[in-house]
Amino acid sequence: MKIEPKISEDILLDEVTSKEYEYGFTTNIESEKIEKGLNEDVIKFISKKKNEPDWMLDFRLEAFKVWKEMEEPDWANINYPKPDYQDIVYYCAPKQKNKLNSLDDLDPEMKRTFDRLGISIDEQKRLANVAVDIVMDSVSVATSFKEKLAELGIIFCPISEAIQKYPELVKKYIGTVIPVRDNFFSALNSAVFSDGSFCYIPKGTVCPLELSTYFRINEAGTGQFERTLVIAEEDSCVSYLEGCTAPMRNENQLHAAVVELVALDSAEIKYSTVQNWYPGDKNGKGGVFNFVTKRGICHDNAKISWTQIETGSAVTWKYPSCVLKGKNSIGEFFSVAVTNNFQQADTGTKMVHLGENSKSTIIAKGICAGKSNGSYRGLVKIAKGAKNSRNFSQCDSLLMGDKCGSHTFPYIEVDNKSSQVEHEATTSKIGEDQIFYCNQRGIGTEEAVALIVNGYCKEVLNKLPMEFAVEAKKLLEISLEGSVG
Amino acid sequence: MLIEEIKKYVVDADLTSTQKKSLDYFLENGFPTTKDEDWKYTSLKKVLKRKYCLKSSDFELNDEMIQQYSLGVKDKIIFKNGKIYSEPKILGVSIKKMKDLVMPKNSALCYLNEAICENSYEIVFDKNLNLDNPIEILHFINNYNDYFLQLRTKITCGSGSNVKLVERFCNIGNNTLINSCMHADVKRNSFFEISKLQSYNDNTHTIDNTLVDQDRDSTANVHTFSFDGSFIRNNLNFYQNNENCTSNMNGITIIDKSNFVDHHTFVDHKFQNCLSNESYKGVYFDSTKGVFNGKIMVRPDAQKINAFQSNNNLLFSDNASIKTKPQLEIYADDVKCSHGCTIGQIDKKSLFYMRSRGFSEKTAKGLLTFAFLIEVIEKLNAKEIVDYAKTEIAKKLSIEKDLL
Repeated sequence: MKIEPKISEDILLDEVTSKEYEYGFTTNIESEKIEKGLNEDVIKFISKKKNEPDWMLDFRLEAFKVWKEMEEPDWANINYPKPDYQDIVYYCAPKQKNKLNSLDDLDPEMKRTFDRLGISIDEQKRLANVAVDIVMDSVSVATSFKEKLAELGIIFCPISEAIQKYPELVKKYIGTVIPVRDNFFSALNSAVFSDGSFCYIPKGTVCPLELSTYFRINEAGTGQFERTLVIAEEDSCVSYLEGCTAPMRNENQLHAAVVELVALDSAEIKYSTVQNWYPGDKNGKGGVFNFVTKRGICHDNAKISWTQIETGSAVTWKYPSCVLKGKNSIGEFFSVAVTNNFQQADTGTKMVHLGENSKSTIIAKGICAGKSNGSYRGLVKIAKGAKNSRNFSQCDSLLMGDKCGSHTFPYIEVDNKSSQVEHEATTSKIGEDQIFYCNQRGIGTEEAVALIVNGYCKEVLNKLPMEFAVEAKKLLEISLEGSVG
Repeated sequence: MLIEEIKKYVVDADLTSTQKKSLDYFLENGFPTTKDEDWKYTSLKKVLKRKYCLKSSDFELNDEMIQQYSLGVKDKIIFKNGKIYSEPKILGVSIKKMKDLVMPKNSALCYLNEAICENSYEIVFDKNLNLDNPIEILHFINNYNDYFLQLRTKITCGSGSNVKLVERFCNIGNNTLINSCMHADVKRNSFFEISKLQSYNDNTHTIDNTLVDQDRDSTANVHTFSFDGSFIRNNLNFYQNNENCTSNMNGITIIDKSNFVDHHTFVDHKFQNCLSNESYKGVYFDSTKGVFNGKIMVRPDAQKINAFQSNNNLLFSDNASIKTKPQLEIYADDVKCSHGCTIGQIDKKSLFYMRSRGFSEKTAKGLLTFAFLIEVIEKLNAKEIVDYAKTEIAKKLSIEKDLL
């Protein structure tokens, strides 16, 4: 029998902390970007560049006006140097000569980038049965499977294209779930967003593919402000996935996206995120600030499910939320947030119950290692009219290393007598007895940790679409390789 | 408006330099508003709208009144509008009036209390003093006008002592806003327990700040019973300043009409091998509002901490509401911390079971609600307090006490 030598905690932790960010390459693609800074001219420039109609420009300028009056919030349990909003490039596009006809015309250099990212477009197209929209820096570069989707009436395209082609749809829904005034970052995004994905599923249609967006910040000194709008008409169903990476840079890059989901009567939207922005080096230098606003609205009998695997970013600050407006609507939130080194995460969800018999489930798992801090912050609000509503929340944290911190801030507000709310949270480390049990049975310490972490996150991983569960599992293993608490 | 009153009052008050400093701090910060995270759900606006006076007037106190509010415990410390009225003669217990009593503070209200409280007392329990029975602290309050009263007490439990207290505010007068600060200094290897009985009349509004500092190997228990009172805010803070401390907090809240109760608790685990246990149960009728905020902090390097917290609530009316925020902040890894929180109703199956065995709906509901609360009641040691709790619960649930 093979006997695993017991690896000391320090060596293991060293290994983890020395693990380098895999996706930290830059691509040498000529890009077109404008001067740093933000003013009305920049917004007009972006709008013009995108050939937008007037109402869109007005929307942006209004948002800019609102943003200027707002103050950057500081209530979250995170510390970071506030970005200088005049020192960011708000528009940056990979230079392309002509509009692409098909994926085969894509710049070979860029294609190689995506290959290195492990999302070979060709392969995905042929094998994985996934339609991908790739957003690099600020602009959407490739969308696959468009025709196949179009046959069903499904629209899946860059939002800039949607503004041109389907203005009435965009106009009807944009800013309805997350109003411009919602918060500082959503206002900023509304003013300067340059691209993102748009997805429309017509009535009674079940989208046969997993729709996917891949985001990458490439250029130095740029911010990424993408905007995603998913509309599921009555009785439709869609599963959507986003992934993200960024190159290694010493400076902090800002990512302030807005994602709006609209699930009309009896529709179902499943939105999964594998977030792997560059987390900064082991001394906490560099990394992406991930300040994202995500919210969905559920009409009668509709369902929205958020699944997120958060392993990257220097600072993560986001709360994918559900407004359960309709009767019998369902909101779900499944999250695994891993922080290491000096990463900070303040994440969670908001479930606002307005309709009768609405149900929500929250499963949040935090894993903290190194000197990182992870917080769960969530709101469960049951309004007076939301009779017989039900919520179950569970937030667990696993601590690895004695310098990290894990925090829980659940807000629970109930205003009627027929609803039931349960909340539980635990914080602990991997027990020595658990490791010992595995060791006894011939499982090495490192494998045992992987096994336990895997089991710990299983509830959430199981919710991911098949193709990405594998990727997420790998990501988890990489970011926590060998750390024994 | 009240701030103007305070400014007027301090003109002829003889304040020490520390008091002046505290006053400046308070005037700078003012009364907390709903914009403060700790007061997010608790608005003082309505309470502060009244015209309060800060000067007390004297009144007669007779044995009958004392009898009415006492639990029947032999030893009593009685205060009249914050002034000492009578004290027990027990060897090892001494009460001193203090001119300048500096205590830890957790909000602007504590600063205000420090600045303008006229009667501050220190109650000292000697080393190794072992009290068999609890001592009752009764505060009688009566004033001609609406009254803003400051109470300020420091309790020192000498090392190795065993001290049990029962505290009760008895307002027999007009509208009164009580701002009470209590600081318990629990020395090495001692045991300290206080039960706060909060059954006030409708014109009593209370802000009760209790701060407990614990030294090595000590145990501190605080039980809070909130049954009546239009506005109750409890700030309960434990600071574990050395190893092997145990802190227990229990609370029962049963309120009706349009009463409001807010429990804010905070346990600061600064050293290793400590324990905290928290269990708050609430039952809300009519258009009552309940707030619970329990915070557990585990500081860096405070390993081997076990901290448990639970908050369970029953809502019996659509006009009642509960806002709860159980909060953990943990900076050490070898800990076991958990919190749980539920909001719900009486189980219909259990109710049906009891109804099918001939209990009236009221009795069945009452018994099931009592069963919901029993976990807290079982933690009480003194029989007088168990008796008090049962009487009040029976009254609130309108069932016969003998059934409990």
